[in-house]
Amino acid sequence: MISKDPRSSLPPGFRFHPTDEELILHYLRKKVSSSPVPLSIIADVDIYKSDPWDLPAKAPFGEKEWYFFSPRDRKYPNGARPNRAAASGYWKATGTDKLIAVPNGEGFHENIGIKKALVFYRGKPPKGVKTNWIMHEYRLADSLSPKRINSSRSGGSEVNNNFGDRNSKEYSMRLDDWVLCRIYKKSHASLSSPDVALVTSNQEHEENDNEPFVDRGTFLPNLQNDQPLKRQKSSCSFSNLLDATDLTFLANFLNETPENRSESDFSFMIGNFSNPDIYGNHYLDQKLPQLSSPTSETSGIGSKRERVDFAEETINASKKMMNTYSYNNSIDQMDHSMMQQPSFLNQELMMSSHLQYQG
Amino acid sequence: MMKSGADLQFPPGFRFHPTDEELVLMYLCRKCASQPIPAPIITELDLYRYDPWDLPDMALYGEKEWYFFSPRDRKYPNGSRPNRAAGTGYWKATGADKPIGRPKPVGIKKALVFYSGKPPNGEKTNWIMHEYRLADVDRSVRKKNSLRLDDWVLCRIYNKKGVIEKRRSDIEDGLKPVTDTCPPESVARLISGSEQAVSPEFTCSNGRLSNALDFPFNYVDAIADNEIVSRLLGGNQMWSTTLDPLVVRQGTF
Repeated sequence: MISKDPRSSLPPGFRFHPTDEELILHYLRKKVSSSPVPLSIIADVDIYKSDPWDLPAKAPFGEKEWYFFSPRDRKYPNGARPNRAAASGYWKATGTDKLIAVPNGEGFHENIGIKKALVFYRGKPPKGVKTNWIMHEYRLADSLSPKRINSSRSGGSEVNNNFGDRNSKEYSMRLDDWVLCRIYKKSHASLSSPDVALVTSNQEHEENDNEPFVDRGTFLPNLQNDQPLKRQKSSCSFSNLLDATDLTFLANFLNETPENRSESDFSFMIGNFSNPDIYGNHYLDQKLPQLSSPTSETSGIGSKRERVDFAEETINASKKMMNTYSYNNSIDQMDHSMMQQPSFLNQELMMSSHLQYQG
Repeated sequence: MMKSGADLQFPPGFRFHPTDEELVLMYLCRKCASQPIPAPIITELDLYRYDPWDLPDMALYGEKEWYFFSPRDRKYPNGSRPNRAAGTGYWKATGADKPIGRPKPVGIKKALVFYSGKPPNGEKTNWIMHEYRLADVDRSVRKKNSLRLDDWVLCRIYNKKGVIEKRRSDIEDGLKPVTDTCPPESVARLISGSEQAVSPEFTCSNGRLSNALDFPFNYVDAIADNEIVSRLLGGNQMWSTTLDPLVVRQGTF
């Protein structure tokens, strides 16, 4: 870093490790108002014309994080949303925006800027692949927007100087002349690594500079917000299941039975072939609608659970044949019923086999 | 804040954030070899005479962490253990020593926590010290009538909570309920730290797995409920079930 540093007189161990307040007050605000920046240590680069892994080479210096001044364009004309598309991907916001405030003389805190965290995704939204490249975007607060309005005129000329002439359409697409961006790559290395430990310590140290208690407060609500969302999804699935009719359930059952087919199905089939009079053609139409009604949501049943349910259906059917219409959970009662009707149970098993075979 | 503003003029945002290697190679080695130090950042002070909350006021530079060159004394005349008593408490080692430098370690880093009171009944505080000492030094050599173990070690002092005020530190140290809440916060910090280490993909995967596990249970419950109701209310359904083989039979032949 020392060789790249514009001021090579820095003693070893000193690094550009600014607080959020310093970035806003000493660099971004002066940049927006075209005031002289303390040093030319932050380059003017359009972040959205490059991939994040190409940006470190465009920074004057930096070891693990790099700083840039970048313009922001609108996504649509006259819209307020920024265009987050970049060279081979897009930046997606993550977490909550953080207000950056400094105490003024009257004992209150004045809001001077907003910090937004984003993650780079490769590919086209919404199917991009998440990467480890992180951006912290700093922009001026609305309280400083009068300066921004004034500076946008002079800033406009400066933009023309930097990026060449732009037609009026391109100029109207400009959302912000300058925002300040910090780019770094999140590391997966083990915490035992000295560099990672240092980086983690530095980042934690920086967070302490910027309202550590607020950070802690915002962390837990995020977790709480995520869980209800998952539960809501489950609830929706449950509601859909409640709406499902019994026919849907049976149709799904029939479609799933191939997984449980065994050789004995064929022997039962041959056995039933000797009794063709049982079946009539006029019942064929009634079965077709059922076969066409399965839904994708019901395909998630595990075969193990399905078999258990199927056996339960067999027992229930046998009880109905006795005209009782009363559902009894007693196992002894069920065993007693089975012993009383052994021949019927065998017949029912043959029918069950046919159900399996049909699937 | 910067005590010697006139001596140290840096652009806004530049701070002393050295790596362990820089501390050992550029500062500690030079100090022990009586060579000039790159910058007057590190104060010479026997910090074992003071409580940690008094040290920031004596430092040349620092906002949330302060650096000192300090001697170390032995606990006993012929022993090699350092005397860790300091101010109104003592420093207690925590974690494993970490060698600094490759391929051969030049220094060793040790982390310590300050306990107020007398050992072993001291109360843990949030003051942390990172002590850097030279490796490969024969500390058995002893001068006459001296308990000196090391002429110079390099120490970084900071408060884990970032609190600087002495009064607040005293309050925290004095009130037991406050100190009792420190361990959970430490655990929370560790969890937060580990969260940073864990990749978002892994976290998302866990979320999806959890969601997947919830789905079958709800579905099975719905099936059971639906089945029982249909069996109790619909007698006609049984005939449909009975006639299912007909479809198979017609299709097959």
